[in-house]
Amino acid sequence: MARSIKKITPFLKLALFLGFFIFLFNIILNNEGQTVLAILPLNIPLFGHIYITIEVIIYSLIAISQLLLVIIAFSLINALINPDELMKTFLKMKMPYLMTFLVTSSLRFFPLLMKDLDQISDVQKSRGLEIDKGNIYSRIKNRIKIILPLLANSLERSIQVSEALESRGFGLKKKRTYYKHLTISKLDALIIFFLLFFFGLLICFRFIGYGYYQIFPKFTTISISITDIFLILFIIISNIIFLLLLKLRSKMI
Amino acid sequence: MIKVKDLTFYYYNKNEPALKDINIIIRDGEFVLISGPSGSGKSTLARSFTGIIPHFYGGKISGRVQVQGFDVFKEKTRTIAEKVGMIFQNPENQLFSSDVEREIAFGLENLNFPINVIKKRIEETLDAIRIAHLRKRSITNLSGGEKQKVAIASVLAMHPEVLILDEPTSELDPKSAEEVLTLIQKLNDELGLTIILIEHRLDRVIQFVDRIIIMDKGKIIRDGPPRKVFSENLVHIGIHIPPIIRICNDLKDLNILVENIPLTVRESRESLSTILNNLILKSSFQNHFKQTFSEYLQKFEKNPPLVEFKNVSFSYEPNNRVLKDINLKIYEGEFISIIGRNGSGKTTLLKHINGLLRPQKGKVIINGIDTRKKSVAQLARMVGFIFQNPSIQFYQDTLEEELIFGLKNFNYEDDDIPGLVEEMLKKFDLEKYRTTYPRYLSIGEQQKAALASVLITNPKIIVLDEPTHGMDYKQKTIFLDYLNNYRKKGNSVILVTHDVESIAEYSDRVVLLSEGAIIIDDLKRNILSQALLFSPQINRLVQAFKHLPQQILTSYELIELIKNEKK
Repeated sequence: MARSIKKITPFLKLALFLGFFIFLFNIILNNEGQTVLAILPLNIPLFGHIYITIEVIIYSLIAISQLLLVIIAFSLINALINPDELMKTFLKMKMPYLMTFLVTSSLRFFPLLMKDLDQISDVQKSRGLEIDKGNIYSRIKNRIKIILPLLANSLERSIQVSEALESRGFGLKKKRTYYKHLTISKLDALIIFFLLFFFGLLICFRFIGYGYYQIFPKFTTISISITDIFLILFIIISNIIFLLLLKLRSKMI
Repeated sequence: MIKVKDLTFYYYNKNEPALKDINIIIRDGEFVLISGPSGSGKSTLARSFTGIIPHFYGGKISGRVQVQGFDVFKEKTRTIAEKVGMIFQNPENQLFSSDVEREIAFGLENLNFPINVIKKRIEETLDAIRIAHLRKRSITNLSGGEKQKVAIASVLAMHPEVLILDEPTSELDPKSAEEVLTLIQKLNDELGLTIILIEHRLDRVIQFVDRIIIMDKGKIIRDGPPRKVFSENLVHIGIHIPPIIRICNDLKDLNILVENIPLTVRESRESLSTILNNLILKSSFQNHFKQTFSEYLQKFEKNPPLVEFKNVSFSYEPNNRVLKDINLKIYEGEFISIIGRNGSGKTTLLKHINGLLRPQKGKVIINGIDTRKKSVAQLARMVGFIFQNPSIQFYQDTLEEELIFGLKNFNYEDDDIPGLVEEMLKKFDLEKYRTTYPRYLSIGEQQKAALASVLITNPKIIVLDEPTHGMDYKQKTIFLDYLNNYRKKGNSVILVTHDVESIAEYSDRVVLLSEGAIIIDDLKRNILSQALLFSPQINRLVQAFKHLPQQILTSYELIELIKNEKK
């Protein structure tokens, strides 16, 4: 668990970094909303005066949390799923083998790519390249001097990899066995059912009218009814059950 | 059985043949070593046994190659894959799965073996290669040697009849290299596999092989049992000849005949026993090799040190110090080697010299300047850094453009650049490669180009991280000779290497690192002689003859003694 969190921290950092800019740009460029908190004394051409409104602040906070959610979801896939398991799942879903091999082998070679990147930037720095100096334009230009050798390297690597694949009989026979089949246990089925059920339920609620919030032109205070409280409790409890099921599964393997 | 008849091969768009009129027969169960300088066609020949040439690379080919009854040119490479297994240089690029078991299964899955056969083969192979303890480990977390063993296991599981290994140890440290080579020898000895091994360094395998094939310029120039092949002096071809063999060749040139060419140090003690026992030294030679470290330092200490480490500690992760309180002074004109196991902190130490890493505790002072106050690019004018794999940095279309790129980094004026490039090409004898794509050059030439672009600012210090890895003997000698001359002009050379024979020949001083601390810092003779592990071959030979100076390290020194006695 701690290791998984460690794995996703760089992605979280990236998300917060992007989030900061989302916030900044919204404040400066978005002049909608009626509850004005302050008017900055600046007058920017094309944009006019900058109004800071509560609506914009709420809007950008929601946007940031949405971004965080997407990034966490994807980085969790990366951190928790074994590429080979992923391949077996794809195969189970009747994806062609070549396609799945492409995906999983790129996951295997990605860390090597990062290692190469570090090495190349060390070499180019040692050859007198100032990477972090100058304006944005020259910085980008300098990064290209690291990316281009990386591309050339990867091309060379791909030739070596395909040679090795040839000599391991890759694609020799039309049929192929799969060592370590993916079996779906009852617990797996339960988890999948639970996930689908929950997903369906959320969509239903959305259709009924939950989950909407009108920010512009003027924000309104939220009133919470008893059904709302039940709903929130329901979501929290189901999440806990779901986590327990996952924990149980990881213990069984 | 492998039968090659009149094989000639041209790579696509090349006018020079990569292989010319090759005729060989390799019998089942033979252990064959193919050697030769870089670009001699060793790898090309090996690839023609698996059909990768011509099926994968294209090009023009004539003649015939038959492997285990198959005509290689007519069959698909993948069909031959069932009979012939091939292991490549870089273990990283031949592993595709996430863990060891799955990797071993991969080839068998491709050949559509039933699951129970795959399971059985995995068990067998894990035991045969002795890597059962690694079975659940993820590939990414294995060491280089372990990765290469897994690569061998995954090929072996397919039950090939012939195993071809293309410099399988060139990316490994000496200990893992030795383990892998012993393993290969065992596969030949116990399983009767035909082994075709391509290697630069001969000293570790020569005693195991039945036959050596030496290639040069696409042709087979020698073919026979090792003792026969090496009864003549082959040093001019540019291959690494083990020092104990070279000394016999050199003695022959002095008209002293050694009857039995030795392949191991033990054999050399016997073969050379009469000559060395009867050797009476001139008295002046008795103390010739003795010098204490303080005497040596006196020469240099007049000048302030070029590099100074003051209580330097460094760690990548908390609580795991990679460098521990390093104190080191390096002076003008020194040629110093840093040795130690993999992971002992050698590269980390080097990276402190040009500021790629900054000390977390203590100070690194280069020519009077604290590295923390300068950027790497600024330090690059004083410290030239050469990495193990030069090709990684190249991306321009020609060598010339690559050199221009280096000069532009150092802000040379556009008008000066063409002249400087000319000078570099000339000085390093690279003029004929001016318009070649840098990655097509051999490792020796690539490394010379890397050195050229580093030396343009005349740095006082040159730092090298295993630069001679993968070079043939001729290239290595040219490269190290150049460095040796450069330091004589008042610069210092700091070399990290595993190659004790090079240290014995070129270095003055050796620093031994272990677990991030300096264990010994002394003259090379005090460290390399009478040591258990890092003694060069000639020193281990001399240790059996106590009346000879025990500090002798190279065959040249021993020959010098013998010559002087004769007069």
